Amino acid sequence: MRKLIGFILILLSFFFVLDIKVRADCGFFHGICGGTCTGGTCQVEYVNLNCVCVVPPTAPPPTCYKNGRTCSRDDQCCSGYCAEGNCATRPVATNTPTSIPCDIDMNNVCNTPNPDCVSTCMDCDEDYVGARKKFGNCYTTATCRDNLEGPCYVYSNLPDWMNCGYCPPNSNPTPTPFCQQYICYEMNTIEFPYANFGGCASGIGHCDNCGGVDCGTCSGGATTPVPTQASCTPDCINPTVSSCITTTCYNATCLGNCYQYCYGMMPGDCSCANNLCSTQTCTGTCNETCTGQLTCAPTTLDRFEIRRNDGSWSFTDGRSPGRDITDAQNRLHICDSFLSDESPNPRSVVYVAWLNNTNGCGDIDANSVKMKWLGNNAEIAMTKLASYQSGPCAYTATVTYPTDTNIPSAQGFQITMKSISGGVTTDWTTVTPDLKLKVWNCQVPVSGTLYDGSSGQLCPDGGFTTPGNELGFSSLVFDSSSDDITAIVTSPSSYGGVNLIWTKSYLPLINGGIPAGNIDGNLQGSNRVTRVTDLGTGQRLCTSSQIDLWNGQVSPYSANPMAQIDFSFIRDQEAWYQVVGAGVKSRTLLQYGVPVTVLPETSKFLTLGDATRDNGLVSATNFLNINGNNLKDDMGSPNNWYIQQNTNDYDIYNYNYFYNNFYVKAGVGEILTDWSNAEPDNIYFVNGNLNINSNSPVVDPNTQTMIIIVRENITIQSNVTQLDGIYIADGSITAIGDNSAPLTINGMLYAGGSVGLYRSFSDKTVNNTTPAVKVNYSPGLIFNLPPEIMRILSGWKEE
Amino acid sequence: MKNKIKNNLRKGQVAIIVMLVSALLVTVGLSLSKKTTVETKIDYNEEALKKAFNAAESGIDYYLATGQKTYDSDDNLSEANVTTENIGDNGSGILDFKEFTPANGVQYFWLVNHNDDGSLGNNYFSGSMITVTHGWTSNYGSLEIGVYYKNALGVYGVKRYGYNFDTSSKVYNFSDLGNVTNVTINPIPSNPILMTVTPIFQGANISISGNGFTFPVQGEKINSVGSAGVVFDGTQEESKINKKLSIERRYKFPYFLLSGIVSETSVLSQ
Repeated sequence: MRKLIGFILILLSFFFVLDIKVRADCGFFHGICGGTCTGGTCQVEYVNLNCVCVVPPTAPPPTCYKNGRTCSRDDQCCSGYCAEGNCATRPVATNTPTSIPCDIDMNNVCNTPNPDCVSTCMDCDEDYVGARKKFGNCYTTATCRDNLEGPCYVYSNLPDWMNCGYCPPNSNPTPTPFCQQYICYEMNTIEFPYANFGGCASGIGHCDNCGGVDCGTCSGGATTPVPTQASCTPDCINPTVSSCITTTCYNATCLGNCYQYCYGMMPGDCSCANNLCSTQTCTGTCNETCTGQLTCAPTTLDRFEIRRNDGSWSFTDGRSPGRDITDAQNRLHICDSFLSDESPNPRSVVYVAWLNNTNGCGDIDANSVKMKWLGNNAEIAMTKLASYQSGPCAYTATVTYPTDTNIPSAQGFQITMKSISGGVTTDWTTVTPDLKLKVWNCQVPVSGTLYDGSSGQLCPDGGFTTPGNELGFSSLVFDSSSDDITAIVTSPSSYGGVNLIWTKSYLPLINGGIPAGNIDGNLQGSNRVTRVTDLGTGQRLCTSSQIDLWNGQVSPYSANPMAQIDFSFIRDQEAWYQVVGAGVKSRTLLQYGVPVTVLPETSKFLTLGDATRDNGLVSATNFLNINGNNLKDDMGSPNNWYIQQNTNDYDIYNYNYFYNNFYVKAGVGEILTDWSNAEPDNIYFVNGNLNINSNSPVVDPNTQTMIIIVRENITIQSNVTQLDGIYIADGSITAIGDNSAPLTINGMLYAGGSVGLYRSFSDKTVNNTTPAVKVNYSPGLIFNLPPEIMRILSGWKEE
Repeated sequence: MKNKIKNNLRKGQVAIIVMLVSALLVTVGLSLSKKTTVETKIDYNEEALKKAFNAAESGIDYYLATGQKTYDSDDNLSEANVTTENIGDNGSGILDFKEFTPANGVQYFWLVNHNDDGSLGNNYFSGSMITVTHGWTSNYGSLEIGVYYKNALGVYGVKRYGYNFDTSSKVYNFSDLGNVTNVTINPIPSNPILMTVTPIFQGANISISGNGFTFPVQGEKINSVGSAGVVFDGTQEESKINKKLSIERRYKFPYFLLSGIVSETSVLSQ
């Protein structure tokens, strides 16, 4: 018995084995997926609908190892995969995702469980006999169909036992029902085109054995395959069930095992943001927006400074603004004393940039800080100052500009720098404050003219009109503490060909003048007025004798600083004479010389009145002011009377007339042979020339008189300073020579010849203001004459 | 026959000629005789006239020298009587010397009296204004006027005035008056001594008015009548010839003393 049982068991085992062997591999057996699956179960795979052996995964380790990542949260590990949210509470995708592609995987297989199919019975082919085929197009959805999207599945040539009838052979008989081969389909498969078919009653599946007429069950019989209704439990968690979720992003959906939509479990990858700043984003592997992981801070410029390169240069002043000496337009130039005076580093500039970075000075790429001066656009690397790296971070560069660098305008600066974090670069940007530096050669071409300002000096125009061609200008040296510069005299009154250094002070020395003494040398003029014209800006100003171009006289910021330095002098005037209390009459020419330089202005006249004596008429046929002012506005004051016509009487008085009438007839007068013997209250006759070499005796014009009548000429020597009386000569009356004192004649002059008043001051500059000869009209001399000579006989009548 | 006639004719001609020459000689002889007589008479008259003239002239000289108004010649053949009269306004307050002052000449109007010795007195013109009349009726000119005075401190001074009376010929900066006949100087300085008036461009007959005030004596006119007598021999006829001379003695001085500098050629400074 035991052996029989064992044999039966062995025999049964054999059949099981056979059966298993028959089913060693998964496959469809009579339409049913089955078979032997070691370690797993035979299942119809999703996509290819193959019956395959699916081996369930082993229990995952506590960490989600499937995707190799460690979940940041404990509830993120779902079936071995990192997933968002709690596995149990993972959101369930709806069956209708927001967007359903018409062919989700473009494989001409409709991915939806119930594709929308449209079928059309094909026309019978004359060569074809049999069940009338049906042609159909399946679309994922009706929308896809309506939108004329391509069908994801096209079936044709499938025998359709329903509704398409039968294609008879070349005849058109009325089809008669006949039994056709049947094919069983599994429900809800793509090959089962009858979406609306509800299945067989009391059965599953569908069998057709009679040309689309029957609808019978397929149950029963071993030869009748019993289709099994595919059963499906949607699983969006188990990646072995719905494998798509492993390759689908967490924020995307895929069709799970039951064609349900599942959210993927593939986490997004924001590694692209690893090197981005928190202010930056990128797109992750799941199209998510990934925010930079770095806390980045741009490096900015807090302040830019220009400093002089001298021994005391340092930062200890706490960034005092006074270290940047600029004008209202933030300009500085290389010749400014701030930059030029330092020694031993003239034309050397220290630039300091104070930088900020919220991440600290350490986040500044020290090799990235560069500056450039727009005058030459040369990039200059700035060096970090290690001692100043808290708060604003200091970087510096030192530049020395060659002496021949000559850029016409002040140029600004730009700076660039980069932060380490995120590599944030601050592109070339204008510095703050917007400083500008002009680098030039500090040389100022100078030229100018000497003017005769005798008519009046009033800066900036008065006295700068008439070239001083008569000043005797011969040389000009600009004297400085170091280098003297000699100008080139180009005309009687002009010079040029000289460059002054803008930073230096100069004292112009004319005609051999000396700094500590007479700076005008032997120039025939005085009262120097200096006018400096900035040819770049047009500014004109008068200054002291010293030239300080740097002191507001010439702007260094002109494209080509140039200056015109003019000098105005009061030309040394020729000696001149004046009459007080009367007029002057000449039968022909009247020369006079009232200069425009006379002071006070009230004395600037040929004739003057005073409290008791009005000035009188000036007459001649021709006038000439030897000092240039021929406007005839200086003939007299208060009476500016003049006439260009002879007003001398027709009677000409001579020695003989007076001798006969005074000496002979009236018995008045005496012969004078020695001038030193002259006494007041006398009438003297000189029978020849009279050389006056000493002052006359003093004559009180209110009580006395004196007349000197000379047959020939009267000459008044230079040592004579005062003559009282009336002087009459048949020839000329001449005053000659130089004296430090003027010649005052208290009386009148009358000459049959010329009256020549050539007397001058020894110091010719005194001529500028004072007459060298003054005739002080004394009417009392007339009324104190002896009455004998006043009584004139006239009007002889004979009856 | 013909020769005879010629001879007769020649003799007749000679007679006629002789008669004519004789007549001529007689005539000439008679005239010479008459001329001598007349000339003798003329000589005597001229001589007397000359003497009278000389006497008159001498009378003036004598008066000027001595102040005496009668003069007898040394040969007692002539004599002169001098009379004087003041030259002035005769109480009218108008000084008009009735003389033409040429252009650029000077007319002197004394505003103070002169002492007998010719020195200035102390009687000054007491008016406050003086009207100067130029006398132009056409071709006007200009006047330069000076008023000399002596102030309280004894200092001599001068005030000057200038006027243009023509619209074209003018002195620069003289006052333009136009074609008026006169100009009044008002006021004139106190203690005025002398007013000088110089016409310019045109000579003028200048007079001045004291506007109710009289002017001092300007001088004197000296009249001298010289007489010389002669008795003709034979007729015992006595004839006297008178010759009157007059001269004015006024106070003047050369024009150039009105100015500070006067040159009859040129005034030079260089």
